[in-house]
Amino acid sequence: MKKINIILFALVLLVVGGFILQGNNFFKPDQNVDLNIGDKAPEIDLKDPDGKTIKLSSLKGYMVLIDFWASWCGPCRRENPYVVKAYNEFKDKKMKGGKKGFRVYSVSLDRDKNQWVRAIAQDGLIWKEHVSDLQWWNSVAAKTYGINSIPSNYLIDGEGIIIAKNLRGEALHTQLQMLVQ
Amino acid sequence: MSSFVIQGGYPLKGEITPQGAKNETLQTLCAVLLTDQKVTITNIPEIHDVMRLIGILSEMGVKVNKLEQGTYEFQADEINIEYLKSQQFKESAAKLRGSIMLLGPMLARFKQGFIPRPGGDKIGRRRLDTHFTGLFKLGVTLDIDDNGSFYRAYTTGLKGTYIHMDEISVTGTANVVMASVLAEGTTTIYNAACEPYIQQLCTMLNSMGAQISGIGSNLLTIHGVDKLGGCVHHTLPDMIEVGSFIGLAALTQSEITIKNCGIKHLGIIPNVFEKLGIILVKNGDDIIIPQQKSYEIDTFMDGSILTIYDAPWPGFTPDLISIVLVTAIQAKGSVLIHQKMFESRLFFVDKLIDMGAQIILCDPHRATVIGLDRKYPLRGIEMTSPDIRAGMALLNAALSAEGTSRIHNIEQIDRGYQFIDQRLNKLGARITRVS
Repeated sequence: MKKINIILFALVLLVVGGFILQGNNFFKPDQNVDLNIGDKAPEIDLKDPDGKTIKLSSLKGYMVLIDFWASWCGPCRRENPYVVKAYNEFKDKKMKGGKKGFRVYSVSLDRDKNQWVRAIAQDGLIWKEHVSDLQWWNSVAAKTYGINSIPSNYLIDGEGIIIAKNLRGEALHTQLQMLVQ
Repeated sequence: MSSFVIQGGYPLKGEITPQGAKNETLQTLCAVLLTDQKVTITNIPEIHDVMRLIGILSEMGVKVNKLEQGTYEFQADEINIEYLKSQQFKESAAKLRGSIMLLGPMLARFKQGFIPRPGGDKIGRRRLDTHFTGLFKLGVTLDIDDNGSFYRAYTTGLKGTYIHMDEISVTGTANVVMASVLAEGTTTIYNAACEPYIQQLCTMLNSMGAQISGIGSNLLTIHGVDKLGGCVHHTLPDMIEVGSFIGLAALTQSEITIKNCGIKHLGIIPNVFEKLGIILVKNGDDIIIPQQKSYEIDTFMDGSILTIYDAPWPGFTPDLISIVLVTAIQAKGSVLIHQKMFESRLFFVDKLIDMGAQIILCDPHRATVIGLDRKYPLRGIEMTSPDIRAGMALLNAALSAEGTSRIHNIEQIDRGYQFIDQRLNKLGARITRVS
C-alpha cells in the first residue's frame, strides 16, 4: 500500500510539475522560420475560382511547382510565360520523383476574383490548379509558407518534398530538364 | 520642437494595427538598387527616416512611384553615379544611419559606392567596422577623403568568399548580403544577424532571383547570380509596435486587440510579456490583451528574481527593453532589467522615478523594478524624450499616470512611430500635439 502511495504521489508530482514547467504560456515561438529543400511542403487547401477545393496533396505522384503570384504583381506576370512553357513541355513527361508528370499549383494573393480570373485567361495559364482565398498577403497559404515576396515558387516531388525553390526564368526549365527520365 | 500633452489614467479600448517595420524597410529600400527592373514594396511606414531614404533614392535617379498609402514602386534603371559624389548627397546621407546600406548594392551593381560617415541615434557607440571588414573580404577597396567625413568604396569585381562577421550586426549583415548576391561564386557569412528584418531581406532577394540559403540562421550561404529581377514585397508588421502596444494595454488596464501581428515572426517577444504575468490571447494572426487588474511577474524555477535581458536575435530585442521596464512598474513582483547591448538606454528611468516608480538603477546596464501592483498610480510630470524607444516607453508611462504629462522632443517618437497620437486617441487616449 505504502508503495502504491509513493507511486501515486510521484505521479501527481510529475503531472503538477509538468504543468508548472510548461507554465500557462500560450505562445510558442514558431520553429519553421524558413522552408528548406528537403522539407515536406505543408498542405494547402484552398478553393479554385468555381469554389471547388483543390488540395495540394491531390497532386501526389506529380512533380509540382507551387507558384505564388497575383494579377497585380508585374514581375509575376512577366514570369508567367516561362511557367506556361514549362507546363506545356513537361506535363506528360515522366520525371525522377514524379512519375505521373509535371503540374503547376498556382496560389494567387489576389483580392479581387474578377482580376484573378482575367489574369489567368490573359496569361494563358491553362492548367486547372488555381487556388486563392482572396486574402491578399493575409492568405493562409502565404502565412504557412512565410511568403512576403512574390514571385515565389517551390518545386516539390511526388511525395511532397521540396527539391528546389525560387526557380525564375530559364532556371525552371533547366531544373525540370534535369529531372526528366 | 513639438510636445505631447497627455491626460493619463484612462483605460483604452479597441483595435490597433501595427505599421510596417521600419528596420526592414530601410534594408528592402536599398535592395531596389540591385536591379533595373521594377520593385514594388507594400506596407511601408511613412515615417521620417524611411521617407528620407526614399528621398535619397529619388535624388540618385531611382524612379519612385507612390501607388497608394504605404505602397511604392521603384525602378533603378538610370542611376546617376555623379550625384553620389555631390555635396547634396553627402548632406542627405549623413543625416540617416540606414544610408550605409546603400553601399553593398551600389558595389554589387556599379562597382563603386560613396557614403558619408552616418549619424542617427545617440545610443552608445556604433561602429561601422563590421560593414567594411565584410566588404573588404569580397574585394572592396576603401578611401577616406581628406577631412575624414566621406568614404569612397570601389572594386574591380566582387568575389565570393568565407566571411566570419566580427560582430552580429543587422545592417552589417544586410550590406554584405546585398553585395554578395551578385558576386562571382559562393559567399558564406558566419555569425550573421538573423533578425526577421534580415530574413525578410533575404526572401525578397530570393524572390528577385538570388540564391540565399540558411535564412533564419547565423550561417548564410549565397551563390552569386548574374542579375536580379523585379518583385513585389510585403513588409512585416513592426514587432516593436506590437510589443509596445502589449505593454500599453497591461499598464493602462485596457482591452486592446492588435491586428495582423505577424505572430510567426515575433520570436520570443510574446513570451517575455507573458513572463510579466500579462495574459495574451491569440486569435488567428491577432493578439488580444484582455483587461487585467493585476499581473504578476514570474520568478525563476528556484524562486529567484526574474531577469530580462536583450540579446541578438533569436534572443529578446534590445528595442523593447525600455517598454518591458515601464510595463513592469505596475506589475506585482520584481524584475531585473539587464540591457546588455547598449550602455546608455536606461538613463530615462530618472523620469520614471520622478513619476513614482520604484526602480533602482544599478549601473548603466541594469535596473531593478519593484512592481507597484497598482497600490498607487504614477503621477504625470514634464519630461523630454531621449531616443525613439525610451520616448514610446515614456508615452506608455504617461498614459497610465494620473494627471497631465508633457513629453518634449517628440520628434524622437515620430521617427519610429507613425501618427502615434492619432492612432492611440482612436483607442480613447487623450494625447494633444503642441508645437
